[in-house]
Amino acid sequence: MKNLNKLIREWQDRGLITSDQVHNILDYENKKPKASWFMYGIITLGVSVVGLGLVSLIAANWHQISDGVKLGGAFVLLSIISIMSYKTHGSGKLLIYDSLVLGLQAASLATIGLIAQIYHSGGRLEQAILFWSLICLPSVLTTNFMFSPFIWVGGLTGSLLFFLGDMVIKPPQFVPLLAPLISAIITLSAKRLGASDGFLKASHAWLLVSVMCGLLACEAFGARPLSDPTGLSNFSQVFYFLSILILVFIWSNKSYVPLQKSLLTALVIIYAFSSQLKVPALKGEILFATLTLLQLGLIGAFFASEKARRRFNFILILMGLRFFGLFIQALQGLALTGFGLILSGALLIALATIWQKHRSKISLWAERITQ
Amino acid sequence: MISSKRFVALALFFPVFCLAVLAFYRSSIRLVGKEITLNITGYDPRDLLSGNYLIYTIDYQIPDLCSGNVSEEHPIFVCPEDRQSYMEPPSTCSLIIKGRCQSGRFIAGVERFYIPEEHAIHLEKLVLNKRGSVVLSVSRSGKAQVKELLIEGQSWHQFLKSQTSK
Repeated sequence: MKNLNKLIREWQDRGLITSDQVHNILDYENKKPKASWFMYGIITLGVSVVGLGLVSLIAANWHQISDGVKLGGAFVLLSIISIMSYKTHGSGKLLIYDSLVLGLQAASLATIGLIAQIYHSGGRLEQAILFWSLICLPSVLTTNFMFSPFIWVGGLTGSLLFFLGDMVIKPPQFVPLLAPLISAIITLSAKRLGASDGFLKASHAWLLVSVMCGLLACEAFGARPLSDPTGLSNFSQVFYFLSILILVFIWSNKSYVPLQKSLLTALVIIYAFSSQLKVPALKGEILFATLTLLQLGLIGAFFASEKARRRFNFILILMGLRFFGLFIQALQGLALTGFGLILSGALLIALATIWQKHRSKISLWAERITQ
Repeated sequence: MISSKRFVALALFFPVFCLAVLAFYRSSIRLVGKEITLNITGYDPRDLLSGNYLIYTIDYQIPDLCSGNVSEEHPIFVCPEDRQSYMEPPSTCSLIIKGRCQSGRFIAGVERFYIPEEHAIHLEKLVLNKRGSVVLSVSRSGKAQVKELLIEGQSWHQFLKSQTSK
């Protein structure tokens, strides 16, 4: 209120509003019910403490509570959250609805754990999370913001990777190379299903993280000898299957123009090539770094074609850092000498200066050439 | 965002429905299946505990079960009555347990039992000393469900109570 008074006086002094208007504004503001943050804080604290007490009571007597009561309680809670979510949907309270759906997801996961505990079920954590992902998918598609889909996409991607590592692919250290492919399939499927902006933002975020992990994994595994060459065939089959699926999604997507489809296809092909490549020693490291730069360039070009400036700028920064890393790798021993250090420092300053001065021009140029 | 009221209602109650089906399915095996009691031993004496779960090996009394080149992908059917294992469900056996061989062990999804933390170490010692057994409920298709953990023929709860009262 103090800030408002100050602003109103300033506007009045500058002649932007009249004294009648000042009077009306202040009158209106004073008549509004005031939020007492102190009271809200105390009530929130009280509710949290009651909640914590309830949880502690249940936890301390957990083993004396019969299985029927535990299960019944869980289903009552799930039903209440579902009903509350349904009543909130369409009322305009988007944040509350999304929070309730997140609560439903958490309660579902807890119930899966409870059923496993009561029935002493075997099975691995990733199987439970895969099941959870499946049953929560429809509700996640109805959300508005990013946070609920973000958790869901992360859970699905992680559990799929662990599942593949456990059941299908030996040795499992190749599994991180599949992360970008799985994320890409989730993102393209979400687009096809007409998912919300929040869902798409979440899947894009995970896709970016997965791609970075995949590129790192390519460089980490590519330059080292493979201890079990036979294990590669299982991995290759899964890899090519996922890659072909992605290409089908890309080329059947009507929202992508031919240039975008070509950029993404080139990216998939180069990624497939670099993830299967086994080249030893230093030449291998420089080759992989070059392939990483090429792939980052394709990703950047795609973001430019979508006019996604922030993501384009982020990729440009990553390219600059990787280029700098490549430069250091190429110099080798020289890097440690004074001459090498001077060159590296100068390059860093040059890159930063170019970036600072010309980043808008670079973005506009990239957008123009991808039109 | 998918906003049709009908879809939203289905979407929000879908997890509840699926979980209810899962709980019902597990319950039905427990209630309707045939019961069998089998001895258990620890398979890794260093640590039988995984979180709050006691992990053990069931003694089917079948020599060479899962030894040799048994595929981990093909299901195996164990008949405790005649102490044999089969690659296909045997028609002559009234109770079969379905599982797979993994790393030389027959796994039927019943090799763990949830126990309270305060009794974990005591129960672990009893199982290591071969005083434990499990009651399984088995469906007609061979799907097994753990019903109870027994220590010297008594439910673990009763056994610990009787120990405390002594």
